[in-house]
Amino acid sequence: MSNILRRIEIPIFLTIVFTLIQVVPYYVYIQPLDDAASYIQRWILIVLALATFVGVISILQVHGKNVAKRSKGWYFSVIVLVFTIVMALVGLPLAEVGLGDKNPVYLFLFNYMLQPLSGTMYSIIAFFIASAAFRAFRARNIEASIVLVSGLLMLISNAPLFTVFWPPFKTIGTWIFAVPNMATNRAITIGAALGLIALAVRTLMGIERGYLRGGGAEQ
Amino acid sequence: MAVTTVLGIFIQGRVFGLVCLLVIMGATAYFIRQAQAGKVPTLRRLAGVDAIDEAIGRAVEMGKPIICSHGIATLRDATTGPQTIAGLSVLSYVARRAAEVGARLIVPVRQTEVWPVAADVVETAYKLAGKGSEYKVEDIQFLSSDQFGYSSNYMGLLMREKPGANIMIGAYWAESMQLAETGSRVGAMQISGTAQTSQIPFFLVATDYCLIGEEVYSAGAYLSKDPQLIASLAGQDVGRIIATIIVVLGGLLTTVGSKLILDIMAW
Amino acid sequence: MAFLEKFMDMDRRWVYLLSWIFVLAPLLYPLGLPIPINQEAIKWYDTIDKIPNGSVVIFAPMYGTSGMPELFPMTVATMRHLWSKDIKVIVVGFWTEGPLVFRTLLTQVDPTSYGKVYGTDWINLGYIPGSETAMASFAKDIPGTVSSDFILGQPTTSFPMMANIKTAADIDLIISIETGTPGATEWLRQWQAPYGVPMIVGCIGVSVPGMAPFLQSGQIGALLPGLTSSAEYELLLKKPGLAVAGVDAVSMSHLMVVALVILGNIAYFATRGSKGGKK
Repeated sequence: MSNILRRIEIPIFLTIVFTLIQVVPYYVYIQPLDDAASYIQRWILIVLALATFVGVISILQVHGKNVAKRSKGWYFSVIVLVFTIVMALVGLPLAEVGLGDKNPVYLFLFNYMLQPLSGTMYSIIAFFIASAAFRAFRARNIEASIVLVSGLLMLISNAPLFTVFWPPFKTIGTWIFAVPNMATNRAITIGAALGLIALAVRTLMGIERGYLRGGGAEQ
Repeated sequence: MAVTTVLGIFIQGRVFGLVCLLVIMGATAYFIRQAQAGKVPTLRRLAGVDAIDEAIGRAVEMGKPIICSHGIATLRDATTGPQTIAGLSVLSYVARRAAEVGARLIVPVRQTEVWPVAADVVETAYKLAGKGSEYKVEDIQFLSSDQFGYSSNYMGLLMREKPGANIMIGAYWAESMQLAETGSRVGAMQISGTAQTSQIPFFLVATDYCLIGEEVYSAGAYLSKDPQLIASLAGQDVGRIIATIIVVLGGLLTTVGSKLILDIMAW
Repeated sequence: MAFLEKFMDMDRRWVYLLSWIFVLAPLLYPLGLPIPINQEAIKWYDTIDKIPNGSVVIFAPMYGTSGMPELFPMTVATMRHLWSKDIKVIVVGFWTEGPLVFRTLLTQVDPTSYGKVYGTDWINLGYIPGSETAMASFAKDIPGTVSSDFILGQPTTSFPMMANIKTAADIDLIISIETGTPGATEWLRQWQAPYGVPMIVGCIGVSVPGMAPFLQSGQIGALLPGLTSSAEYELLLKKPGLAVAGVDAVSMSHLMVVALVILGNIAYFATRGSKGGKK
């Protein structure tokens, strides 16, 4: 029995069936099929809720092992485990016992730790962009020169310091945004959408198996 | 809400899309049949995908691990889910090659729902390479479901492990610059790819090779060298031809004041 | 020449230090640089100002704590503008931290100071899990998707303003303030294209190039990109706030990057001539 369940045809069949149930109602009006698609969307939410625990288990496995073996940097793993457990416990939706998103510990951790840390991590991008721009924006050839000039013009057009002294900078930046950038973005978006359709068609036909175990090859 | 239908069954406004989808599917099926008969289309080279073997070899020579991530999106989203699937296809190939050459493979994961899929893909790849005993589940690491928790964890991983290769193919957002720049700092050979238009410039600037847009979706087919998958890419090109014809015709007709193309697309 | 080569190859940590100085200094010692008002901010202001009385608007903070530095100023300014008008506002989030961001906004902007009553003039429906799937479901059946509100936990249909709001067809405008996915493209697919609901988008600078096709086609009515435009909007509202306070730092950081790039290229060409060039 377990050998039958491990056959690759089963997940491929399920993928095709559920894909059709979601795709067909978009084009064809059949009320029972529409209802089936809605039910399956709710099943997805239930599966997702259960999948939440998978992440916690992985964290406990990786960091728990680090702590147990006193691996290099094991004390950082202690911090990860402590905060994972504390945040999970105080965030439980049990308002009757004072837990949940109004719990003082939860609010403290969210407002004074998560918020500043998230903002800091996001802000680091600015440093990296400056460093990457300095290294990469060199006029080595024609294409690089075009990137350099257009990048500089866009930077200048977005800074009030420059546009207040020479307003045409803003006009040039707006033109770059509205003409070459728009055309390129449109082309990439259409191309990516076609690639996406092709991948979906391959999945629907059961020939795209990379996401299945071992690329779909038989063991 | 009442639904307006055409011929009593097709939803108004979506018939043209359905026709295009069926044409692309038909073309894909045609080219697959041709491939089964021995006529496999030739693909243009994708430098980034060709470089994956080079990156894996470099990591082995340096005695360093390989880090291969598939993006931070779920499998469910309409535009980013397929990128995750594409990233998992690449992961499958990288895992098999890493197992064959004896390189350690670390897979950072953001989405809990993707973790079991990634773990299964890697484990089976190791088994197919005859190295099932070398598979380590703790190398498939769930880092954090928070975007910047994942990013900071991944950056730490790069700084500590100093991989020989950092392969990032999938859907990425703001963390793309952070990961690419950190990978560059530690000297890893980096191959990236995403269809997120806002992140492509960051990858192009900071990584050694970058797959742009639809090349991400083709990577799995390209690596597998499976004739059927390669033939399916020709079906994708039929869609591109349709899109080009519509753009050119639509531009010309709209310029002269005709709404024919718009009316057809509104069926 | 050796100096120029060293400059080209300088340790990136010097660039980080320069960035830190150029951003921090104007925040501590504001320069008061002038801020010209541009078309994007004017269009955003006009679009909101011209919303007819009695309209129903969805206001969606589609970002988390990481996006707050850049998007929170425009969120605050937009809510002030909306509450100053006679329109109904439904606040809803498809990002987990969206409701928490809005809670932070409520500590800075008091709707009762505008004479707004919760449940009659505005309502917060909280976070709806499921991303694009949830947005599609929300469009088809608003009270069915969100059975109770976020603040009081009472049935959605019990509030006076929700009496006649059932589907996307009952909504007059979507205002989405966002950093990524789910965001504008999901709104376009699930609300704008099928139901024709107009939408305007406020976003971070990085997302702006990708919005160009939708702006040009009219699918997005107005776009407010980043902190600089938020500052312009605050000035139009005559309520300078966080964005105006941060614009000097934007200008100085841009100046630094422009200067570094130009100097880097000068060094590149100078050294390329003498030693066959370096990458």
